[in-house]
Amino acid sequence: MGWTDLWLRVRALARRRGAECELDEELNFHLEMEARKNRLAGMSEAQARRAARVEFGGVERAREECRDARGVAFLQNLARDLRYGWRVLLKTPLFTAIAILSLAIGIGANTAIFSLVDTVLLRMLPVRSPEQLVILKWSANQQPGALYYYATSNRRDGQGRFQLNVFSWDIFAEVRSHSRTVSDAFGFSHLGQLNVTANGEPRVAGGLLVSGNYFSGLGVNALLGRLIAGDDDTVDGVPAAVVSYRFWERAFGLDRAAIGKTIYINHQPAVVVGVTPREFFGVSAGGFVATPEVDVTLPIRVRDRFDWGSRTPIPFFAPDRFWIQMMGRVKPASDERAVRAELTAILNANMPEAALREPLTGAVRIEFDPGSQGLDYLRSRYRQPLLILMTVVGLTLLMACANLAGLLMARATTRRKEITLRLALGAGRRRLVWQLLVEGALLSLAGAAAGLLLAFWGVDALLAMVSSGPVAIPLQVRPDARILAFTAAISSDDLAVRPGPGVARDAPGPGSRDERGYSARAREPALRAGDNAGDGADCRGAAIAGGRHAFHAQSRQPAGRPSRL
Amino acid sequence: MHQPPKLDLLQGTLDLLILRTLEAGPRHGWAISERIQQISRDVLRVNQGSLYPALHRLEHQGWIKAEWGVSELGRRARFYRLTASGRRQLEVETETWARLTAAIGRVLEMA
Repeated sequence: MGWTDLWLRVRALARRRGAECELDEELNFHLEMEARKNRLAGMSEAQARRAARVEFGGVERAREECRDARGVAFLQNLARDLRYGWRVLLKTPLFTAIAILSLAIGIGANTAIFSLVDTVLLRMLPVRSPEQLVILKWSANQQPGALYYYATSNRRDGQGRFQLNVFSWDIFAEVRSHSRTVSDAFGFSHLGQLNVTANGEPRVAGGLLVSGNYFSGLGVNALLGRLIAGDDDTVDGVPAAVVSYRFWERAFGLDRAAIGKTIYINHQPAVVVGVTPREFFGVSAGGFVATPEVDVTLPIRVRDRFDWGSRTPIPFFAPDRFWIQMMGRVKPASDERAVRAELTAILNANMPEAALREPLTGAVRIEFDPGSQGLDYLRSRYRQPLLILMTVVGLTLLMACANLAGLLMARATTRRKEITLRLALGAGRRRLVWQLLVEGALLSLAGAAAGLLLAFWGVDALLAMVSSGPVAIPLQVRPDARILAFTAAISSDDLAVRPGPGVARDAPGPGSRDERGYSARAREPALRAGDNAGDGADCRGAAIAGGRHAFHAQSRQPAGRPSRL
Repeated sequence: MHQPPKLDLLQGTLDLLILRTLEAGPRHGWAISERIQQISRDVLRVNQGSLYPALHRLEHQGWIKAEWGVSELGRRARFYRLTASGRRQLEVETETWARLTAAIGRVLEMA
């Protein structure tokens, strides 16, 4: 049925009263014209009217058929079925509650888990061409003792070599300006928890220092204002700050006037210049190691400008201080070996002599990981549990549906009486099946609605469970409408379609071999081997009976008149 | 007064006759049934009880359009007129009918 058609039907339904009046007027006009003709042929007034009515046949039937022809019946029936289905469900509140609850649990749990799986395992960084991104690291036989590390991860790789993910400013600057194989190399460094005062209200927030090409290298655009544009980005001598969408929401209530406001980071002023997009969490939403959510992003030179509370100033930009994490884009033309060779040469050239002279250091070289997902810590940690959880939950939904189908089937058996009665009163098979489908759909819909609520709550609970460690893991997880629709469709299919036709098939038609009564049949077990064959026979029986019925109806017309159109 | 029995319309032919009758111009329901009877020299009789459902069906299909107008006696009446798609449908049905009667004619002649 097309939309236009549906629209016509809805309009017809809405204008039903008007249409009914018009129909009456039209039919009355016809009868009067007919009566007038009869009067002119010499009949008396009463005779003429009577003859006109006889000639016309059943006015009420014609009216009914006109309504059907206009297509109003479909929507009227649907409304009636919905009302009836609702009443039937209310009549058995326990059954309805159990059905809706089991559906809600199935749908809700599935949606929640799948949303999480989708976020953690499937989504890539919301940046330009994420597949080109690499995370740079370096390795040596042993940790050089001459260096100072402000590292967030140091571990041994597969061959027992020392591996580190931070570089000195010199190495980073050299790679950024001179590499021919890696473009857009950008650096960043997490600041941990900061005390940020915005709008006069202090709060704890996560901070990140970034090089001037961080946002342009990632290909992220500002949601509002502008992003960090230089290593030493300042506004009138005050460092520029970019805040996350969530911080903008928390501290400024999504007020656009936040741009240009001064905030205080560990009591030192910075000017808000822009807001990052909502779905952007920085390169490491839990990145290489668990890090706090990035609320405030500052230009990298703030390391020098801000007083970080240490007793003696730390020379962060000296060649022996390793603190900058580095990512970049491998140029499409360059192969992995060339990248490794070039960057390793840069690394060696800028490494302090003292570190290279240490006998245990051995060969120093560059390593890299794909950076496209930016979530590798979360991914490796939660991949398996999430997949297992999802399988289990999927099975739960299947069980819930099977359970419910069984319940409905059992109830259908007890409803045989009602259905037999309705068949005997002349209800069409299609109408009966349709009505049962509507009932099933109503149930699924209620289940899906409850499931949605459960899913929202479930996602929060899951996140709380996942982020129970020392730092919260910031994730933007939303139950996905797509997923929800899918789950709901499966369960409604399972519910409505399966038991529906079965019931109408089981129901004996008038005049079939089951005319001897529903009571004898109802006591038979509903599900047994060979029942299907019996159903098939019932179906044919009902059809034949129906055909015979129609035939009788026709031949019952007055014999003296020609049978009519 | 002796009259040969009136013939009932064949299943499915009512639509064709309605469309053909409306080709000459808009008419209301009663006029359509009168017109069919008159042209067929009172041989064909339209069941009035099924005329109106047929009219509403044709309207729903978009082949005819109904408008309220004033009848020849000055009363408000619902007039039906043929639409463009109704005209095409009439051509199709006329052709089908011609093929059908030709085929039946041949069978009666030659079998």
